[in-house]
Amino acid sequence: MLSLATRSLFTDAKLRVVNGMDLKFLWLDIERFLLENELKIDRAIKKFVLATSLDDGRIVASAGLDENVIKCVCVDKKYRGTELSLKVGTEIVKQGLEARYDDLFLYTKQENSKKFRGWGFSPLVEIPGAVTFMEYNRNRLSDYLENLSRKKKEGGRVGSVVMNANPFTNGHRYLVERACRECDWVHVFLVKEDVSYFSYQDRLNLVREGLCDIANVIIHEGSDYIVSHVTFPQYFLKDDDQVNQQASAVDALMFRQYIGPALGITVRYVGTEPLDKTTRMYNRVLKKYLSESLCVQKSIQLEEIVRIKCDGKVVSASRVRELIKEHQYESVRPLVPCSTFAFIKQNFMSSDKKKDASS
Amino acid sequence: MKIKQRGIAGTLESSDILVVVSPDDGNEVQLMLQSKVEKQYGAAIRQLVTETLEKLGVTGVAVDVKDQGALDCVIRARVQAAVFRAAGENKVNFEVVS
Repeated sequence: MLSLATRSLFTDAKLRVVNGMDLKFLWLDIERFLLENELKIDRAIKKFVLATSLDDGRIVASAGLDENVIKCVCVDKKYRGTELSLKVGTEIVKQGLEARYDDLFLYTKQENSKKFRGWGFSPLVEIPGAVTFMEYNRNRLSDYLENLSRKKKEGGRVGSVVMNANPFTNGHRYLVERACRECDWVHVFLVKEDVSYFSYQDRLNLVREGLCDIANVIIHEGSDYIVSHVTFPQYFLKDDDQVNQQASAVDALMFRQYIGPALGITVRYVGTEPLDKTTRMYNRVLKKYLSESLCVQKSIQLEEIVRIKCDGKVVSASRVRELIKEHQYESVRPLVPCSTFAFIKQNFMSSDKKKDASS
Repeated sequence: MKIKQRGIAGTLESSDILVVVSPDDGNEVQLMLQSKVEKQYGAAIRQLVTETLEKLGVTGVAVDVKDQGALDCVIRARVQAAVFRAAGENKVNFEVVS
């Protein structure tokens, strides 16, 4: 265990960085400490910076790191107002940056956002009375937006679609086609996160192939700022307990305040969601934060398009994945474009055959 | 001096400065400064950081600086330490540094 015995003049606490097995041993202690301070531990955290009292070994401050998001930051009441918070802050920022992340993010209650400014974080979006979403490296977002705005196209009605496309189906195709008919230009954003059944690169290729014949569509690669584990953690967890409307509101506001204006987007298209609870909640929050007048940026209209059906069931990527797992490839054929089907045939059916041949 | 990896030096505590030096494409120095005393000393801090990097012969870096009101000698020392760490340099030539 790495121990940074920094004994300071004002507080008698020791900093340590814990991960792996050490973290498992200390997990309950950390959980108890956070509960005493009315915070819930986040099980996605892989690494903690802890300050422990030199007198009795009690935890007196904590900060957790889940990839590039800082979570569960807490300082014992007795130690608030000392420099302990900044020591913990320095260490967690170093841990994050040393892990090669170019940027760090955090969520905090609005009233605490000032403290994190002291850690060098700047606010990106604020949900009044609730959550503030902050970023460490101020340049990252502006660089990203500058790159985006190079692809800006003039038009009266500029549409947008954000999709995971895991994999790209006729449902996605229908949504984009519809948007392209109604708009001058349509920006398609692919979710970057590589935790899906199909890899990011495969998803991107299939989207490109599936949309190559439409002239007024622009495909953008994903980023931390659109439906990622950073802006929208629970989309990937799909856990009812974790469903947190405030985080999806952050994602919606990021779109409205930064990405939308950079490209002059006026409409966002989504499919109606009859099956998945998380996505349904997300659509509702999107509508509220994109189109209601909560902030200075122009509102973005939300168009909910009724999903297409095949044999009485809606076409969805999750159904395609189920069918692949059950090896019912012929039932996949009517649900996806030729390019996606060819990919599935090549990557899944052939490996099945090999397995059959070898067995 | 060739920057190979990310180098970090300093802290976020009062009167200190946290300097992060990362390799970057191109031959420029990209400086990003955030300071408590930006209005009063922003330009002076920028100049000091740039000069220190020039003395060490560093190009093609992104430098992120969070200043909490550090004195000039502290700023210089932190920038130097971050650069040495980023270059993986153990032997410090103090004649260049001073």
